[in-house]
Amino acid sequence: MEKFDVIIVGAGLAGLGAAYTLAGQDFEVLVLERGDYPGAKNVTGGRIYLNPARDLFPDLWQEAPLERFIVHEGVTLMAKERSVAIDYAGDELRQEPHQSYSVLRARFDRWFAEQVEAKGAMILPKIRVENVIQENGKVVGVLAGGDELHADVVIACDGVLSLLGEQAGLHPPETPHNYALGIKEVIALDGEKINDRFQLQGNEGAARLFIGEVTKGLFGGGFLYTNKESVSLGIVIGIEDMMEKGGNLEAPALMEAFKARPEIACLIRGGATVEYAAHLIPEGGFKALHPLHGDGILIAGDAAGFALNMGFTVRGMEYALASGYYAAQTVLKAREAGSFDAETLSEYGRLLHESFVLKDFQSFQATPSFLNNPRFFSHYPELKGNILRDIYSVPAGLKDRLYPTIRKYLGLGEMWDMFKDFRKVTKI
Amino acid sequence: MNETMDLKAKLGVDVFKPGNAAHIKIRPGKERDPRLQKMTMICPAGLYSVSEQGETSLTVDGCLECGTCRLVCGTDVLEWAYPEGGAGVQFRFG
Repeated sequence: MEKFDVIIVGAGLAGLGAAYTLAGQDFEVLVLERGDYPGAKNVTGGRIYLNPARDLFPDLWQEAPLERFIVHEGVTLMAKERSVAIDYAGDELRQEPHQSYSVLRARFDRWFAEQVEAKGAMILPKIRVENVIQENGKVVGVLAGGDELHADVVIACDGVLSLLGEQAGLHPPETPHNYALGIKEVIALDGEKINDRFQLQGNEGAARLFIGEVTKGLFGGGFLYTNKESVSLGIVIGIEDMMEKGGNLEAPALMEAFKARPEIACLIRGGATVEYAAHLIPEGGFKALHPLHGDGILIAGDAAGFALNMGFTVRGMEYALASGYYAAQTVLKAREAGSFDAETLSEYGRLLHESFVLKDFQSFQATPSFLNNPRFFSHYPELKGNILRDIYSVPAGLKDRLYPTIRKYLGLGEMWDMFKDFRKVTKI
Repeated sequence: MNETMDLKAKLGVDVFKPGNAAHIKIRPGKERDPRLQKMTMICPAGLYSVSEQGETSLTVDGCLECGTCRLVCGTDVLEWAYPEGGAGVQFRFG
C-alpha cells in the first residue's frame, strides 16, 4: 500500500492550482489524471479572467501560454431573421495587466502541469480514480487503476460530475436542473484573418456572446472567442429545458444552425474545424454548490460547482484556480494542526467565504433565477429586432413618426412585463 | 443524413484512444426508458439511437465524456463510468 501526504484527483485548474501551491512545501503530493496528458480531458469556452487569481500565483503568468487578451466585448440578441448587437471596446481593456485572455486548455494545462512538476509534485497521467477509500466514514485514499493509494487528505478536483464527492457521500448524484451542456468547435483560421474580421491588432482578442435563436428559445446561448490562430465557437443549452421543451431539436443540429447564421458564417469562412468538444457547465450558482469538504476530503473547481453565469460575463476558471489555492492553504493549516478531520478542513469554507470566490457567489446568487426566464431567449431578441427593423426601414411612401413606431411594441402590458422581468435585477 | 455525416466528420477530427470495454452501458431491461430516448436528441456526439421496436441503443465510440447522459438518464438506467486511464477522447485544444 502506497501512502502520500496529499492526493489530488484531476489535473485541471483546481487540481494543478492546489498542487502548485503545495509543491515545494515539504509535502509528498501526487496528482492523478485520467487523460493521456494533463489537459487531455479539459474543455473551456473559453476565456479566463486573471485579475482575481493573479496574485495567488504571482510567478505563473509571465510565460503562460494564453491566447489573446480580450479588448472587444460583444453581446448579440439573435432573432429569427435579424439580430441586434452591442459592441464594447474600452481603452482600459488594452491596458496592462490585461483582465482576460482567451485560452485553450489542452495547451495551457499541459504547460501548467510542467510548472507543477518543476516545483516537485508528482503527476501521474493515464490513471483513472475509481473510488474513494473510506475507513469509519473518513476518506483515507483512493482506488485508482486497481491500486489502493492512501493519503492524509484527498483533494477532489475531478470535474463537473463530482463522482468522488458522490462516492464520499457528500452529495447525491447530480440532476439536470442545475447544468447546461456546452458544445464547442475549435476552427482554425489564419491570425491575420482573425485580426481583420474582428478589428484587432497584434495579440488583441474578441469575445462575443449570443442569446436568442441560437437555442430556439431554450435556456442558453452562443459564444465566440478568438484564439491566436483559431476561434472557439460554441453553444450552451440548459439540459432541463432541452428535456422538457426541446421537442425535435437535436443539440448537434443547433450547433450547425448557429454556424450557418449569416452573422457567424462570415466570421468563420474558410476555417477548418480541428476539434469538436462537449462539456457540462454548472449553472445553479451559490444555491447549487456542493458541500466543500468532508472527513479527509476537500472539493474544488467544477466538482464543487464553481462556475458562475453573470449574464455579460461567464466565469469559472479563476474560481477553479482560487479554490485549488485555498484547498492547499487549508491542507497547510491542517498539517500544522496535525489533523485532517472534517472540523479542521472546514477552514476551507472559511477561507473561500473571505475570498472573492464565495463572496461573488453570494453577490450573484439571484442571477440563475433571473436568467432562467424564457422571455430572454426568444421574446426580447424578437422585440428588439422588430423595433430596430421599423426604425431602419425607409418605405416607398411616408415614414411613420418615431414615437408611434416604438410605442406600437411597448404597450402597457409589455412595459409591465418588462418591469417585472428587470425588477429582479435589484436583487443582483 | 447530411447532419449525421457532418457530425461523423466532426468526431473524425478528434483524437480517441481505444479502451478495453464500453464505459457506459444501458442497464438490462431499461432499453425503453423515455429518458434514454431523450438522449437521441441531446447527446452532442449523436451516440444514442432508437430502433423500430422502440429500444434505445448506444455506441460509445466517439463519446466526448461530457456526462450529459448520466444527468439525464440517472445511474438506474445507465451504468456510467469514465473510460479507463489513457483511453477515450484526448483533446489537443480544449
